Amino acid sequence: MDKQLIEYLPYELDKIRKKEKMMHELRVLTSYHSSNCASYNRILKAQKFNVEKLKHISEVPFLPVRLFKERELKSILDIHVVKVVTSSGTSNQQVSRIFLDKDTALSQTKVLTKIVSSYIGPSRLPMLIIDSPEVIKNRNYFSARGAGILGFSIFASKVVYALDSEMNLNEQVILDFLKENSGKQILLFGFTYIVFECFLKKIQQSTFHYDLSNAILIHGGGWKKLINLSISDQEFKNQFFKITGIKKIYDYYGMAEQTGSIFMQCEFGFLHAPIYAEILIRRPTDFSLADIGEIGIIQVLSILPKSYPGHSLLTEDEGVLLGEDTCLCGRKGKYFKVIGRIKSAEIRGCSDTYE
Amino acid sequence: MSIQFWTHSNWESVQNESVLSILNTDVIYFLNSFSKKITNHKEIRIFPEVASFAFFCRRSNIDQIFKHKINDDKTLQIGRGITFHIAPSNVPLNFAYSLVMGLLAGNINIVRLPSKNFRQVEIIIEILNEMRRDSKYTLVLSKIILIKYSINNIITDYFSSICANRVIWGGDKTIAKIRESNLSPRAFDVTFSDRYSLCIIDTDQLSQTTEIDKLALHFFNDTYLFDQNACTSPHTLVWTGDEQKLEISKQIFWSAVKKIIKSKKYTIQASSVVDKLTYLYAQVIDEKIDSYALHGNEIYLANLNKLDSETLESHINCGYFNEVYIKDLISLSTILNSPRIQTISYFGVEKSIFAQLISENGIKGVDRIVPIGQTSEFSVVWDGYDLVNTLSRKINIY
Repeated sequence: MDKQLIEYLPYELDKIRKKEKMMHELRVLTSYHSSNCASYNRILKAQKFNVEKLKHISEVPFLPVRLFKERELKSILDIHVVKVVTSSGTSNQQVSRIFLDKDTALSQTKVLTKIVSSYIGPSRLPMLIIDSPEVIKNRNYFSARGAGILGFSIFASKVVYALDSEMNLNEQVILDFLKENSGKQILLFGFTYIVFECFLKKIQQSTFHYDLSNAILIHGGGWKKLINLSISDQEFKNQFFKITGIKKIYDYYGMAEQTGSIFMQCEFGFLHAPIYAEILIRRPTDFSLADIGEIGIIQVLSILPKSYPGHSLLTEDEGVLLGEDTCLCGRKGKYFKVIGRIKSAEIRGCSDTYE
Repeated sequence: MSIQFWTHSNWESVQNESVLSILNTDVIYFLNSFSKKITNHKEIRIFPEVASFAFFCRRSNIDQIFKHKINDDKTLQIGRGITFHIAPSNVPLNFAYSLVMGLLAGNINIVRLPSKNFRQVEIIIEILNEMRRDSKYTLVLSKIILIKYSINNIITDYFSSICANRVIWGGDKTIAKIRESNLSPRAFDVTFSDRYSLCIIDTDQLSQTTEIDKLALHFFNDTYLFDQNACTSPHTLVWTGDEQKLEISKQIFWSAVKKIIKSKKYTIQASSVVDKLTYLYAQVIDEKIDSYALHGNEIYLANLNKLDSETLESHINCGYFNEVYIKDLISLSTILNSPRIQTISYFGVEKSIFAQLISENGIKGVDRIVPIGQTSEFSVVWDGYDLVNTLSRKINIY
């Protein structure tokens, strides 16, 4: 093998070249985790899986993402754990714990940089984080939100938090920041729900004008809650533009279990798989692959997870594949939409009376 | 709170309502008419469970069930007062069976209906309202109050304070919640807690049977019909008999079940699939199983290394079965000693083995033993309670 995938630009390979390189890395990862994670090994054995026979990306065994909440899964010794990322997701009780070693953490940063730089350019920007600094206080035990903020902070020449510890708008701080950087490109980052509830809604009511016409907003991780409020991606963008003049807003789809290789939205509103990651849509009836345009359960693959067996995961989200290599934005790779979380089942039966 | 059906002007008049003797002729007459009216309802074909309920209420069925109750002139058996029924929110007709038990026991019945809006429930209420126009039914209808309310301790407190007994369906959490409301000193609870069930199949019989499709349909009704979520639905399949015939028996059985699933157009929801897969892999990680078989996403078969209580009491549903082979059923005695085990359904097993298994070993679990296909059939003896006797009282006259 010549150049490794991680050395390429995020959207430069077409499906044939991507598949070849990605397949190689996924095969190596599957085999690596099988030798280094006893639990993963048991799962492969129970399905009589043979790595040697692995040919297609769709054949890489996938773990349901919730398994990381219910069991501890790692492929490294405890002494090599440098970071534990936690994610509660939306199911209320247990949190996932993702164990990172130095290499995995570094490659996450490297890949995130490549993806995001392709949107915001190579230089660092003054950055306004739409969250409270409280979220990143405990650095030994990261929440997914904290990890996201710190991950994106690498793009900042200077960081300012837009919210105080009570999640209220810190108007003076924001206005000073905008004044100081007027005319310059700035970066805004936050979780969708927080950006909407604690920022957009609040500046809408404010007596001050917030000019964000030079800003780029990157947000993610919070559509699940927004869908409940039933505001669409387009409405979100329209409202934001009307109030602040901001034109560049990008949603991203990613999860704590595959930090780094995120799926960024393009100018046409579609999410794109970078060459370090892949997306498959599966039918709930038998896990067969759905056709383009057909809604199914989202499976995500990433070449980054080396310290834990998370390179192929079945999410709890529904999505729809729209095409591959053909998006009008010019980015190669698969592009898709996330519909939302799979609905919890309406179970017939006699338990659970009191509601 | 919304009152769906009652014939009273206030709660005081409910409390002043008299009780009836058990198996009262007016009640039996009423149930028989009720049954006829349900059977004639135009939507009956859509709801087979409503038809089964109507069938249950027929005079001939009631007579058949209670024929062993010999009238003894030294004993008078009569209602206790108000029975407060708390029905499960997600099973349409459980409330109706509970109500019939209360009526046959001679009681006045306050029934909390399922919180979901089931058409089946509406049909029952429509028919009761229709019967109200006929004075023949006035006496029995005055013993029926159907209500709906969401979590509300004040309402539960009130009904609990005036009832003679409380029938709580719906499992452990509901029971704990309802028990926050005190009963009067003489009153008591009949509770239906979280229970688990299993199924036993003999390989010799299974591999020979000519009625495999019928058996598979019965099994489907026991399990998939209610997403394997009724407490009577088995989660574990114990195979017994000739071990040589185990593989072929499994193959025959599950391909027949798969066929039924297809013909019944059972569809599994994405979230249930994810639940099943997560549970399956957790079982693998925990070394409960080393192998499994999937037939599409509808049938998940976990090949247990050994049967333990924890596995037997799993909550996983929508087509997830733990399978284990046990040569000698007597070795089940330890595992069946848990009072959380409810129904054993069986095929091809000699019935006498169960009596031996349970009485000789003094087993605390297992309240029902029925052939495959009958697990969800309502019976007047439920979870070990003879409901009519339990809800009524006996008076000896010497």
